[in-house]
Amino acid sequence: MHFEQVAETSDERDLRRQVREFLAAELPLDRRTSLGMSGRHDADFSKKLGERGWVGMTIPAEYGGRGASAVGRFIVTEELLAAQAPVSAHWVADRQSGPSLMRFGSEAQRQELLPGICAGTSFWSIGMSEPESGSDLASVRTRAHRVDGGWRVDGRKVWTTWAHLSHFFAVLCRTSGEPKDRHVGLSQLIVDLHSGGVEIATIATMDGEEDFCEVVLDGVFVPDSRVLGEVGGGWTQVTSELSLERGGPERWLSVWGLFTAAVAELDADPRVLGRLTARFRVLHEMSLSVARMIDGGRQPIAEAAIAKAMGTTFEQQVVEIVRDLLGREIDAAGANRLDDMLARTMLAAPTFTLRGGTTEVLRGIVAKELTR
Amino acid sequence: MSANAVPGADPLVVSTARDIFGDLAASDADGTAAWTALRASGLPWVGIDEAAGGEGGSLADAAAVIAVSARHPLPVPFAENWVAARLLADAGLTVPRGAQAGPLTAAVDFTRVPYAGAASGIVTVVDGSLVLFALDAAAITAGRALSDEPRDAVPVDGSPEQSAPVAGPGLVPLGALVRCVQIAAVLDMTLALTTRYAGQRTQFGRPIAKFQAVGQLIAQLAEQAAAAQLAADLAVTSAQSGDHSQVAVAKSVCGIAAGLAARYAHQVHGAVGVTAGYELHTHTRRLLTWRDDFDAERAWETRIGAHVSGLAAADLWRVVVGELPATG
Repeated sequence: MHFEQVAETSDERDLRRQVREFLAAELPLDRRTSLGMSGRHDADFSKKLGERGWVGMTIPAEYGGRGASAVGRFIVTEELLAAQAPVSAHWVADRQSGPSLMRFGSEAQRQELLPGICAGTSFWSIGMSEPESGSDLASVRTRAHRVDGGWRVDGRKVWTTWAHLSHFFAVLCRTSGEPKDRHVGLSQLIVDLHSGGVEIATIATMDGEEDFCEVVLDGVFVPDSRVLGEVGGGWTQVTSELSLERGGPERWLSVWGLFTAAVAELDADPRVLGRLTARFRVLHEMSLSVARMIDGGRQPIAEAAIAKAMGTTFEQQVVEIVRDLLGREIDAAGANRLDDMLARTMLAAPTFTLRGGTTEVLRGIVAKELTR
Repeated sequence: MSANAVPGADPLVVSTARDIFGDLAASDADGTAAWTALRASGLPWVGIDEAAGGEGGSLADAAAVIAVSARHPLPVPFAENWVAARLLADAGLTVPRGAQAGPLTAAVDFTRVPYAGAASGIVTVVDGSLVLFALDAAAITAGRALSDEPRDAVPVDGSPEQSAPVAGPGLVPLGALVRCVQIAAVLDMTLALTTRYAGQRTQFGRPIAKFQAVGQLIAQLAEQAAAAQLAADLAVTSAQSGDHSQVAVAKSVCGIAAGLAARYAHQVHGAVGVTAGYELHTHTRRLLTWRDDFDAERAWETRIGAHVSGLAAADLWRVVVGELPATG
């Protein structure tokens, strides 16, 4: 388990410059308000980004992508998040669904579904968590029964971010056996969120947002052509999907806008600013290293888990440190940018170490890897 | 272990270093015997220009050898000798490599000098000038660091043997860079020792590694070790390309890692971990000392903070992605 350190090439630096130029033109400073990956949902922005070729970049050109490297995607993602761009609409499709279709999808699925993802116009959500299945994902109860030409799906998914504005999600469900069989008998079925039998309700969260959803599936028909990968291959597919996305820059950039606002507006002890800057620098190197390892054909599961655990706990520390520097009660409804960012990040902060795998679960994975 | 070699280091140099240091540590050589063997091998001067009397090779080669030296502690100031030699070479001076000469040492002043009793000379900076003073073992006052390494007081007598304006990154940045490399190597050993212990020590009918609470500690230790190694590598490769500011980033991250990792390792080990007879303290006490050497986190973080507090957000971002230096 090792993070290899490799500097960026001049082509990679050039790509950064291009993204910054794009953002200068398309994203005025006063619209830069997203908190990283949980940022605003902006279909127009996603489409513009897609037209520029920066959604689904790693997808091969024949399906509408660019066949870019993981590092290329990493660079674009970092620049977007640092600029607090509204990336939510295409986020899951770009990060997980598209690559999953490439890894496990049929040729017909790739041809049908990838172009929309790469255009930044097809939005996907994650169909994994359920009211009774969070960290213990293998205990999912959503059930798919065989019917003529496909499956009938019944169940309930929860914490499904942006489902009410998405087009598809890949539902982890049981296609054979019983819950006690755990990892065996699970499949991923691609569900059109506008299908009959799909009911979506948003869930308000304490940070004032309402992007979480509960999705009830009541006799939803999914044709055979929309089974993702193998029937019964759901667990392997899902763990593959989850493990690699953990090491990305979104795991430490939720608080970048807050940090820069604090540097600009507060008279902070240089020692504190320096300590935070040093940690940001190394977290950047960590997630860059994970992207390089992926391009190198490796499966850096432990490294990605470490990067996420360190990044997200750091995000929470930054929130607390800025609050300490501010030194007064936060005006949660105020027009002041720093107060606004601090209020939002403070109330979003508990989710940083929960979403995409809790810190405790991730550290358990690392420990298991090291003590095998 | 090869996965943790410094990027860009010559594998032949690394394997030679492992063989020689491994043999010396196993033979329990005293300081004189160890230095005699090391001097003959040329390893102390890897990464020092041949023109200055060194062995040639890159900074990455030097860092890799220093990392090996940290894994096989010997009673000689190996790392400090390298810092001294590099400072002399950077200043255009020649490194003294007499056939019978002991190692040089390096320190920020004359009061806490590593291994002064075993060294033939001390390199330091006085009033902005790089100076090399000969050392007389009889005149030192012995002292110790937390690590049990000697930190001796040396009387300042007469004139230096060599003197020149400081050139290159300078004493404190070079010393800090070397400490980061050493800390990262020892963190890796600490992690290995801790995982081995947790896998072997059984309580309540199973290895303690199987308990989630213990696993969390091991994982946090691994996080710190990984961050420190990456930061040390970053500082070395950046310095090779001329950016000497990344050592500030590394010294902060490595210093923090040293303290946390020592705590996690001791927590996993229980009482046996604090005993003199068990290996752990030889690592953790060096971590606790080295994090304070050549400026602790506070000074380095303050340097970074003083530099970035005047930057606009776009430039602060460029510092984070390595397009701009971390210090002024």
